[in-house]
Amino acid sequence: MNNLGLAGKPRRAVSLGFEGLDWDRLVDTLPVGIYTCDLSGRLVQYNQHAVSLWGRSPNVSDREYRFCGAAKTYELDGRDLLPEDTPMAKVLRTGEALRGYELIVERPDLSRIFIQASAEPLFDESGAIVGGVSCFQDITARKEAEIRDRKLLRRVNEQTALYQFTDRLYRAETLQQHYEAGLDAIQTALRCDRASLLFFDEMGVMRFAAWRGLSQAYRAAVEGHSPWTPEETDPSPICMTDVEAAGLPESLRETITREGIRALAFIPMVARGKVIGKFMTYYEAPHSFTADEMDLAVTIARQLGFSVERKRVADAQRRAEQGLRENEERLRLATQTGKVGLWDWDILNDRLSWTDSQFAILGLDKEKVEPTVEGFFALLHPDDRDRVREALARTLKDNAPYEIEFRIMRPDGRTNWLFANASAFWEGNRPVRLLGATFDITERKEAEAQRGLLVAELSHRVKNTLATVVSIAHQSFSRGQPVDEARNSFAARIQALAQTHSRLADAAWSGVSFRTMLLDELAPYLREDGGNVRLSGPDLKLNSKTAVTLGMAFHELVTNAVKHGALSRPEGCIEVTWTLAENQLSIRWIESHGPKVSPPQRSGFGRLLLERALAADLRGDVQLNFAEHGLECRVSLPL
Amino acid sequence: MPREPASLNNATILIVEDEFLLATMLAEDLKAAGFATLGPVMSLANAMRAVAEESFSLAVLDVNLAGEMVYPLADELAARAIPFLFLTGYGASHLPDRFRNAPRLSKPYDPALLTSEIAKILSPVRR
Repeated sequence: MNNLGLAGKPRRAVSLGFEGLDWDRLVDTLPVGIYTCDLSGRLVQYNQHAVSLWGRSPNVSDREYRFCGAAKTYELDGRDLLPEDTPMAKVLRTGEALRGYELIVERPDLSRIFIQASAEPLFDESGAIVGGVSCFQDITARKEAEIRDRKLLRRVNEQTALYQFTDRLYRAETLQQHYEAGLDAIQTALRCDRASLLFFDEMGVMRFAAWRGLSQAYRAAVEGHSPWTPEETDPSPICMTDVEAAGLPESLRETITREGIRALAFIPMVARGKVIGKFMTYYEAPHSFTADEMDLAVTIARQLGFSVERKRVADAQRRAEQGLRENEERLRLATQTGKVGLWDWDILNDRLSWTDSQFAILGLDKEKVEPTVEGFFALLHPDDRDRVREALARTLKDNAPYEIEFRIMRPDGRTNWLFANASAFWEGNRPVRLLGATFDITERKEAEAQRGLLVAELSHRVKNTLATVVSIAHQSFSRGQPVDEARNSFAARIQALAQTHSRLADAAWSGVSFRTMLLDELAPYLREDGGNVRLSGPDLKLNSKTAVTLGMAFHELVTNAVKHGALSRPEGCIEVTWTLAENQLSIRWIESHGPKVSPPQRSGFGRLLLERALAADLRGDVQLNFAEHGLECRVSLPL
Repeated sequence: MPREPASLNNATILIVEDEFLLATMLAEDLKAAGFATLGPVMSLANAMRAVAEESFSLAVLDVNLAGEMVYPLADELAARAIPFLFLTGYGASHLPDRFRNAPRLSKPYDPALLTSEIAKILSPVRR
């Protein structure tokens, strides 16, 4: 070996302690690689161990190899380590020592070893840098152990994450807590920045349930997208190593890349043999999914799918139970009002039970009567018994709806209307239980009957009124009067009748005021000053029959006054006074200042109505006095 | 078609009707058709008395007599085998079941129909 003027210390040490030992051989036998370079980086010397580490003996004169004798070097992360970046090159450039730099050496047979290298600058007597020495050793065994450790550590971390995940799922009380545990596990174990959980909704549409780091716009754009249908039995995870290279439709690719996603994976969640949803992992850079990652993802998906489904089933069950409890409570409240009776017929054992309200509706004493089906039928109205029996038979044979109205004859003598409905429970095709409710609908039925009566009554009244009209026509046209005159009288009489009916209808047939009735008749003949008619008497309500009959009678009196009496002259006057004493109505009609009066030769319809209809229909007494100074009429009738 | 009045001129008809105008017209219509008339009686009590004391061939019955139903009278007539005819504004469904098939004319009535109905009821008896 040439002496390039190595620093003096080793030489002195050797010369002091190991006299006679060949320095060059000593350097060669050292278990570390050593080499020197001149200031330009050209290899000057190297020892034997360096050859075995490099896997080659570089030609010292070959200028191709600068700073290092290895064929190729890499950084630990796999990137190329160029010769001018090696520790030797840095030392020559800076004049500073560099210790413990780790790198990878690739040998001509392409095997790689891990190297730890240190380099020192070499100075001449004047202290100027003239080159460098590097010493390096194989640390492959230690490095591989480290990597194994790191992998192991990662596995431990993953297992820890899974364990924590399982524990959190076990403790989770809400679906949201399940989701959060799932997202944490996915992010920790799969080391992704962003993740999401999606589930099929009841319409079979895939919807986001929880997410980390996704924009609203992105979620809206991709929601509903699913590579699987819920029916899929054995779905596999789908990985997209590089979104740019995945051949996606343009718009989808753009949506994903705009969100800053370069790689993603779909992991199906399966429960009870069906796909219930998926979780997604997203990466900002292209990402190769390893088999380990996929195993982990599937494990998390299985666990999450299972517990989410279990939680959903439990929630549904709790809601159903809650609903059932509320229904029972409502029914209990309903029966407390006594309007609803409940009954439960155990068909197999023919055991019937009634609530207190059912006993009350049937009018039975629960202390004295045992509920039986035959006992119930015995209460039924005979006309309804067969109908109820048939409805019951249909329900128990064909599960036809049991909804029926019927009458019962209660022990207290009342006949009440009931409505019952019931549901049958089946074991196979045999009914085992009938659960029913009974409502007392007597009030409604009575109201219906009342309405029917009203309609019949109205029809009756209309027909009777028409019959009255016919009889008025009969009277108007059968007394040998000229037809024109008879027609006018008839029309006026019908109008008077209609007027009274209007007044009655206005007051809902509750009655009409006697004064109003008189005014209706007299109004067309009142002088402007009103001085020709005087009415005086107490307020009085006439019932409909009295009003109609009196109305017709006073119509005849007014008509007569207009034709022959006081109202045929402007100065004529009519005074009507009435009193009510001991339910006896006394009316006085006095005409004055009219033409001289003489008794009529024949008895017309007016007199017939006044004298006989009032007597017959109202048990009234009528006296007509054809006094010379004016007609006087006294009517007396019980009210 | 109504029978010839002559063939019915022995027949006396009891009129039970509380409306004076209707009763008057009914009596006039029946007389015009050749019948003798009895009444009109306007209350149930008077009608019951007429059945007990008078002799007649047939009764024309208003159903509602100032609020009282005429049915006891109809029962009495049926018991005595005296024919009757309801004259009412109520429909048949309003009559008690036992009178559902009884002869009935609706108010307002057609005088010709009334006469022919009465003739039909009386003719088997008289044949």
